Amino acid sequence: MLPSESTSPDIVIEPDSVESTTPETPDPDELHTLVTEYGDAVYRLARSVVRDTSLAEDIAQETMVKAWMALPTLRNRAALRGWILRIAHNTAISTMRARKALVMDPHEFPEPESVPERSVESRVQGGAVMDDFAEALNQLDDLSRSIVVLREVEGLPYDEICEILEVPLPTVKTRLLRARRKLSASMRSWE
Amino acid sequence: MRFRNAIDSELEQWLAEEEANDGESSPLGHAVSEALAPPPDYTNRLIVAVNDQLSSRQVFGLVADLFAAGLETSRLLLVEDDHDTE
Repeated sequence: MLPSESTSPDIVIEPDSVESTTPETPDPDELHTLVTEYGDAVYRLARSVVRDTSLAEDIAQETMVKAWMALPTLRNRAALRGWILRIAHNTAISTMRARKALVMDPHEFPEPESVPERSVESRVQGGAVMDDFAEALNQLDDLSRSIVVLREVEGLPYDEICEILEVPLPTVKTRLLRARRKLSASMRSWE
Repeated sequence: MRFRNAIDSELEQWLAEEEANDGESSPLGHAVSEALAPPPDYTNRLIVAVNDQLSSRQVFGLVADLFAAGLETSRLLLVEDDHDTE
């Protein structure tokens, strides 16, 4: 498949960031760079949406293939991180929609990820506080979790978060404030 | 409206604090990063999986090209045969 033909509906490429000329062939070396530099960020964002480790890995894989195929069309390389995270988010959302659209036998649904039961000793030893925090993170809605990941972990500016998630600025700020409040409450037990 | 005003003022205060601390990594960021961290061997597995997916795409593309070439050859032969019979 030619790079110009690889653009699926999941990939949103801004018109001003795309070459108007015929795109080049993707560079194999860049694939390695994409995976090593952005693999973790893509995984975290995907996991914040799908809340499943193996599904997040599948989405990361799909994102890397899509990004690498479409990379020659990206003119503004400074926007690469935001661009690849946007592909990851769109891929995660499409995956979730496709899964919801499938009529499945209830027994075939994947088990939701839950915090494993731990002994009193191990909870006291410190691992439990992280589990409690992960549980609090899971309690947030998908959008809030993605906002937290993009702002608190990736350190992206608000305008870039709005572009990636396609939500207005007040929504980002309000959701982030509420999410921080909830997560900070669960972190108080760390002190 | 009072609730909305309270939220707005809290937002303003929080944004001001955040701007002052911009660039510093927060404990919350560390905790989220750890909670959603990929498995230890994730990067290597991702590289292998992506390469496998691209290889299978290449093979599929090659097979599709061969099939299309065969189809085109058959079509040309049939057209030639038709011309010969006329």
